[in-house]
Amino acid sequence: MSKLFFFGDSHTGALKRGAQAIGLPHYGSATMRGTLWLNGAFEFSSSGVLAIHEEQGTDLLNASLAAAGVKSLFELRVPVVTTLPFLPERDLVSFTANHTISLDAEFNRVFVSAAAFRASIVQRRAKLFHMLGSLVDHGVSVNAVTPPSRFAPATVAFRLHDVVADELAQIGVKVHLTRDWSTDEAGILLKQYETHKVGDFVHASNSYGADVILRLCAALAIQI
Amino acid sequence: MNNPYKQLPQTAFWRNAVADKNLFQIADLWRPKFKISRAHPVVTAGSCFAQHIGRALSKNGFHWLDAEPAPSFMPDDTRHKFNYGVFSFRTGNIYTAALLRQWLEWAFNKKQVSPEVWETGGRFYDPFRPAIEPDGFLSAEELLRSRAATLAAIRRAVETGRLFVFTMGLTESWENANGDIYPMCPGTHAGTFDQTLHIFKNYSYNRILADMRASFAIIREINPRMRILLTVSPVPLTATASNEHVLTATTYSKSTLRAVAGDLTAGHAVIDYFPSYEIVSGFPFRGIFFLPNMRNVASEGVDFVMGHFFKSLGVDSRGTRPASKQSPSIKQFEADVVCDEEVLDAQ
Repeated sequence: MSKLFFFGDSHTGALKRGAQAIGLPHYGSATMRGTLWLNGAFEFSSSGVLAIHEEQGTDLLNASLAAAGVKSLFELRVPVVTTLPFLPERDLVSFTANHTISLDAEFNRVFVSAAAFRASIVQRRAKLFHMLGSLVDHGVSVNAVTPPSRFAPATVAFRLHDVVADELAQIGVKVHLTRDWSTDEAGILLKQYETHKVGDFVHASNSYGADVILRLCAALAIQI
Repeated sequence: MNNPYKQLPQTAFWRNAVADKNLFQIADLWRPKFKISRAHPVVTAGSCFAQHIGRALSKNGFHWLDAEPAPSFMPDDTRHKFNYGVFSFRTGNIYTAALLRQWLEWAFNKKQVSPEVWETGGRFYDPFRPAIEPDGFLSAEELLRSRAATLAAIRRAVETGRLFVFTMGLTESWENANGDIYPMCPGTHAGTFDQTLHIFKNYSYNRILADMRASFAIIREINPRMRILLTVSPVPLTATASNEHVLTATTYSKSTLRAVAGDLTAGHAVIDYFPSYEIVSGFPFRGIFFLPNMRNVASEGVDFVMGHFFKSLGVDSRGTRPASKQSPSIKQFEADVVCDEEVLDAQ
């Protein structure tokens, strides 16, 4: 019997392949590009039906739900695993170059208060928080995993993760931070976890996915 | 008989320029002293009416200088809430000439920056821009760093701008015992009013003229290429602490500011005055550009004012309302203008 249900952006793919690598039965897959999720290219109904504004994503999600024997996300009784709310901002690199968040060491850039940064991150993900919170309210175990930390400096990305984790905790989503065991002293993903695909500077390897899933299963007391 | 009036243009005669005209045909109120190019970075600051000018400049393809920009991923609502993109730097409204001078003196190390910080309920508010963060700052340290970033933005704007547009708003103000000037009375947006510490001022013509001259001296010392465009806000006072009726206090305030602007303009080739005040408040316009409260200016009025502005520059106006997928209602647009002093209406 399958023990996890994956859906989300491309980083969910590594988690799925990690589950495959350790032989953990599961449903679901990466569903839609992160940018589209972040831009709100989906609708989530009060009955738990998720409509994605991309045909391929809709097909992937419907196939996953059918495999799980349910019609809506509300009916899922296996833990849902997703990287969605932690979606990195495409502009974080330019943000890092031009701005500094409250209390960071750098000083000669445009300053953004912690409150303004938080408000930006939260407002951009309001639809995602609403969807995941609704799943929790309907008894679904929702687990959010941070994506791999692959661009320097990691400080801003970690600030983003902290804001999102805090919001998720408030709506009952279980948060699984990966930076403590998957990054080096600078907060960058360990070489051993980088994807082997040439030219891919964003994603992690299947072994990263496997280690995430092993830790997540331990935290949820799922037998492998 | 020959006399000097024989040589004057039509605009010099009330009957021709005003009485015989439909109010929408009253024209040529402004002849720009100097060219304003779309390529010139324009700095805007002042009372809330200055926001319309910055917005209209951007909308019409001019280079409105945002020296303290929001992160690109910050949603529009959050930008507005945190006062990004309102003026060229996040000072909030600069209602008085004295406050403009203070910001410039702080930015260019002519005067020591006040260390004052207000704390309410564990959040920290900047006395000199109390509404800049809707829920205050995390700590005094964060507040002072944010203020320092705004001072850096003022430096960037003054150093790189080619036109400094300043809208004069009020003569009334509040100071502390050290002479530090607040934009708002303590205890309105934030802080606690203490009558032993906080002093009401209604600045005189001479004081305002001196503050404006000192401000422009700093600007021109840093950037000799910067030109100045003054306007007087047509928006009446929300409230007066002068013990006068708010209407007579408004007349005093606007008349004084208009006189200062006139004298500054008359004496300098690099300082000009754009008559937004006259266009909205002048009695030939019969107050039609005001909303029913006779205070806030309707978006149509702003468009009319800016239409004059761009026409005088030889530019077709595209209006001032935000370009978005869905046009906001007039009410929403008016709500978008950030006027800190309106909090006094709720007292």
